[in-house]
Amino acid sequence: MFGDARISYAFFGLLFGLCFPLIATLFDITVQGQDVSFANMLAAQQNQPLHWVIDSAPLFLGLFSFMAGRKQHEVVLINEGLESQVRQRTEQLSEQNEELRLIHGELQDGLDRISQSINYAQRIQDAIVSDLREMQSDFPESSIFFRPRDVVSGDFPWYLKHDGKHYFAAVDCTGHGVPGAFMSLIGYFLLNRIVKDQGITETGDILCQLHLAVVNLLNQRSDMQVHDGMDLALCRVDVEKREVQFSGACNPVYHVGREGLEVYKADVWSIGGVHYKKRCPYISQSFQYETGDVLVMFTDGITDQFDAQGKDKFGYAPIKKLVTDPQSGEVAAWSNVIGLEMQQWMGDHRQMDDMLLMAVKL
Amino acid sequence: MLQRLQLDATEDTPIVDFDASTGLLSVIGRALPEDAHSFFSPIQIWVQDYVRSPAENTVIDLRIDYFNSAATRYIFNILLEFEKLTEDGKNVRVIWNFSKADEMIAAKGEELESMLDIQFEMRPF
Repeated sequence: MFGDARISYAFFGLLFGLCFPLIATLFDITVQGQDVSFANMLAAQQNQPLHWVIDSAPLFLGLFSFMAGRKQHEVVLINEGLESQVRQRTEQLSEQNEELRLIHGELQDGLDRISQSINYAQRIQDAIVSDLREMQSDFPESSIFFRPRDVVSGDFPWYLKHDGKHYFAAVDCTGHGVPGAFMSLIGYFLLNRIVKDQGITETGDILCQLHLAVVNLLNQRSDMQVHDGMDLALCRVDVEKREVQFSGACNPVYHVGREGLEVYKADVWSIGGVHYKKRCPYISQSFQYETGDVLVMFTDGITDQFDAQGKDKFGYAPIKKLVTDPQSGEVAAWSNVIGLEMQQWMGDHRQMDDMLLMAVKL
Repeated sequence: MLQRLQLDATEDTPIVDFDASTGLLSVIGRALPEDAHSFFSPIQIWVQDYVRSPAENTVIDLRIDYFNSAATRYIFNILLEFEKLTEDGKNVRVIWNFSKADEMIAAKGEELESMLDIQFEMRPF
């Protein structure tokens, strides 16, 4: 019954109001020296009309209390409304939360599956792309800095020993991640085929052949849909004659000798894809070397990397410094030196492309 | 008249503003889209339409701070479309804007100039 504030307030108001006539009447008969009895109280009421005014106290106090109770009742109703709204919202939120949790779980599952798949692909790429142990055993003081942007890479180092000559290339395929890795496998197998199976030995001819093969393979002659291909620096080393032959598709080679650094520029034509009207055969450049000289090839993922502010690019200067500064230490340690320098340079900036630098001490 | 092609810059793609009525075509920003094909194809199609009914003078104003190797190829292919205008006796000029501090972009401009039959104007800033 007292759950409703209007009734409980009116009741207690009434009860409190009753105290006034009761006390007034008792006071009246006590003052008059009469005994406390119901008959005397009734008589006091009849004799004193002022008591009637006091008698109305329960009525008015009950009424006022009722009105206060009504306000209180409204407050209670509003509160209940608010509480039920809060409950509803909470339910909605927890439903949405559950939904998000499910979506998140699905995304996480998808991401995990893709990551696993890519990680597995990396094993294949690692296994296939160039047996660098052979290069390390033939040229123990060589160094490779290889930092893919994603797990798998469009850049790859290539080494092949064939017919007494050593072939090196630092290859940058268009794209990175999975599409880059697809292209890198194409490049790897084509390079092997051209040198080993087709017996082409001139570096310029190898690049020409590589271009034709990529175009042919990706059917790039008629439509303009697939522009993919690769940029690379390719060197052939003849240890007996102490001679290097170099050809480049966009990427140069650095020859670090006793007299300092010599840069051999590449041709401007990329391998594959683009329909260069003025395309001409790749030039083969030959030069002599001495034992202890170093060949350096790299991809533009290194030179084009922005700094932490996204303002300046790494550029060629740090590479030139790396290969000429005695403080860089042994060639075998260069990959660590350039790795640290790159980390400092880029800071929190995202890596924009795959990075590869090969240094071979002859 | 070909509709004006306007694209806003994103983190990985440049501002593109090609106005067929004035013949002023400008690209400003970075070009390293994850999917180069889907970004450049509409631009290439627009250019193919443009060279069929070009303005008397075409100015291609390029100020690109970064492009990845895929973007380089698409940009070259798009520029190649403009060679047709030269063959038709129209005026085409590429303005190659590059930061003086950025030797890579400067060299890239020179390479493109050597590879294309289009007049280049090198504009370091």
